[in-house]
Amino acid sequence: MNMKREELITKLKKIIMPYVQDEEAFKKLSSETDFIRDLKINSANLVDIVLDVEDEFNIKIENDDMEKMISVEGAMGIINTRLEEE
Amino acid sequence: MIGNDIVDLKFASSSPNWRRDRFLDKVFSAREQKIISESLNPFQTLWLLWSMKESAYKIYVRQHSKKFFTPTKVKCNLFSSNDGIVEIFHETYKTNTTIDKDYIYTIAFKDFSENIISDCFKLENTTYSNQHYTSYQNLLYAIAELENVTPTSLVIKKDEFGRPILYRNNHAQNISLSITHHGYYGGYAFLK
Repeated sequence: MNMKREELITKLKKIIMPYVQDEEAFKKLSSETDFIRDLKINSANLVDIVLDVEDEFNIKIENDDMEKMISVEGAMGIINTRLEEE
Repeated sequence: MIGNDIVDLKFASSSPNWRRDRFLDKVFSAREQKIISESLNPFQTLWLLWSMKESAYKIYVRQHSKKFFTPTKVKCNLFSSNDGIVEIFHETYKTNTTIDKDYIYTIAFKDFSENIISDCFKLENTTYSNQHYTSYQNLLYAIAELENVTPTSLVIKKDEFGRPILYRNNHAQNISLSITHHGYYGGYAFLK
């Protein structure tokens, strides 16, 4: 199953919102948005995001996949890949 | 080269996930998890190892101009409650940690001969702009005092890898620096 892009972004935004430290950058969120550089999310919270994504989408993100979980585009790619395997 | 990392322990305890097994599995190896669970204060030890990983990772990025986000590839060894070694691929870094009831502050460095200047401090509030501004200003004033220059001639900008670079009168300076903040605490470190 391949979730619609809009639906996926909406769900992802809901997950990352509590950890965002730059509200302005969050309002302008695009697929290129970097969690650390742009949203100023701290690195411990990056792990929280990975766990919250696993819960929300009921998928498993391997430690090697975490490399890509640092931007909106990267996270969406991993989520879609894992959902297709389900 | 230098890296540092601070953890505000009250802030860290508010993270929703650190108690979960999956959090531990994503950050720590089986050996590190054993160190944590067998320690007298597992919560403190968890964040001690975390700050060792973070501070060493910052040197690695400075050295190799390469970012990655796989905390389990950063391996910690503790010699005492304050001193350790962190391995990242083929690199080895030494760490020294200050453990306070409210925060944990680690400095990572390449070798003992380096002349490190470092400080950590309490912040007025936890907004990102205040954390960032105060930590950067404290570092700039410390460098200005040491170099006997006016603080306004100095600027710190981050490069494409997120590494802080010091500029003096618009010229990049060859000085290794590291800045950290978390919750109510901030810190800086640089090499003299």
